[in-house]
Amino acid sequence: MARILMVDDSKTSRKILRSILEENGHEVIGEAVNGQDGIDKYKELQPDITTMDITMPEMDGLEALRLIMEYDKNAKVIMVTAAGQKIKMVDAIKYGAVEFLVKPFEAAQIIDIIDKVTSL
Amino acid sequence: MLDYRINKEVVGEKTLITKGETTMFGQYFGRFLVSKNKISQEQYETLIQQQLDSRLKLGFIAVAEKLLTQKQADEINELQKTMDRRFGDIAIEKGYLLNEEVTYLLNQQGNSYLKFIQALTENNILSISEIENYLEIYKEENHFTDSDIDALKSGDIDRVIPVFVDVSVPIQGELVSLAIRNLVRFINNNIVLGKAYELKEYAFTHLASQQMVGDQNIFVGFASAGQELLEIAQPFAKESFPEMNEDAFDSVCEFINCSNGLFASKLSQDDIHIDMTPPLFYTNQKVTADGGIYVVPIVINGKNADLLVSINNQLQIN
Repeated sequence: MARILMVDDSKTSRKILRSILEENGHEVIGEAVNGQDGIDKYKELQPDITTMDITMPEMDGLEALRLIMEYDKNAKVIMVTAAGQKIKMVDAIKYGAVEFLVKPFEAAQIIDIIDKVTSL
Repeated sequence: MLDYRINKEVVGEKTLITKGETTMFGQYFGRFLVSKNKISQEQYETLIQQQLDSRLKLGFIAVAEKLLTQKQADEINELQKTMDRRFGDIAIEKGYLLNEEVTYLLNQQGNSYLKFIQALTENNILSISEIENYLEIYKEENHFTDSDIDALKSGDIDRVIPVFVDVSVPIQGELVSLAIRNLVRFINNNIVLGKAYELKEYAFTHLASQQMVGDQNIFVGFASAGQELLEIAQPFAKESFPEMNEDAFDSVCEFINCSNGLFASKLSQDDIHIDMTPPLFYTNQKVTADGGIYVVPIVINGKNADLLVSINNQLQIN
């Protein structure tokens, strides 16, 4: 079981992801609605895993990832992207993202990836 | 094989469709018959439900396909009452049908077009010849070709889209087609399209939209004059919303984001790169684009909404 922080500006997306994670025994310990909020909640909650949407207003997920990795080089951040954001995925790997979840969500894919990242 | 996923999970909404089975032709032709006052809205809804619940009778298909006369079908039906034999076996024995013809008819038993026609005739609303007349009027009024009508009868969304949308326009055609297929995939598999058109200014009550920027600058939105976008918001979020509030908009925006992501992925295979900006929503404004906005009318669960697309145009929303 992992303690997870979700960062996504879409409430719908957070709701769908939360329900998949909780149904599979994980604990969602916090939600953040943009990159800066995500950084603040990361420092406050120290999650095992953070799911980070890429496309967000104010501060996007890439910048938030970069700053979280600066703060904690062992952070496990999984980027959440709509399909087709290949260039941003490359940047995310450069900044230290451990994995990717592609929207629209598929429960089996999410659980496989969370299990994989938990065991890192 | 029929897909029996439950398609509508929203509580408190009257829904016609409860199974994944298509009622596509019935929805197009049925709405036309309502517009001609040939059937009432209530009859239309009953017919669609009957279409879902019914199994086609072999005799009915044989008559509709002109392989048997009504008299021959009635004769076989009468014989069936006195003997435990299948319709097809009796028809072959009497020399009315060939083996191959019975096989063909059996393959037609899931045909949604014929199911709708059967529901119309069994309810004594229209005879087969009257249906053929109305089908001809439907075809003429909409400037449909025979091939368009065949596409509608097929219930295959990939064949139906080109009847209403100019899919030959590069990028726009693919984008619109994918958005419609995603509506069918994620929202409701029984949608009704209207003929797409272009205009420079579009006034709306509700608009959820997203811009994609990069090698192409693309605007995609779903708009409505009232609360109709709830028909996208509720199934996608699997949640009931009282009105188009912020949460409902968020759901429509997220659907657009997912759909556009799949499109961006497809474009990247052709080395065309676009990036998605955060989706936005607006109320009671108008969108203008000098180069035009492509509008695809879409009826979702009986509610009218529009898909808007504009590519490489200066766009304003105010």
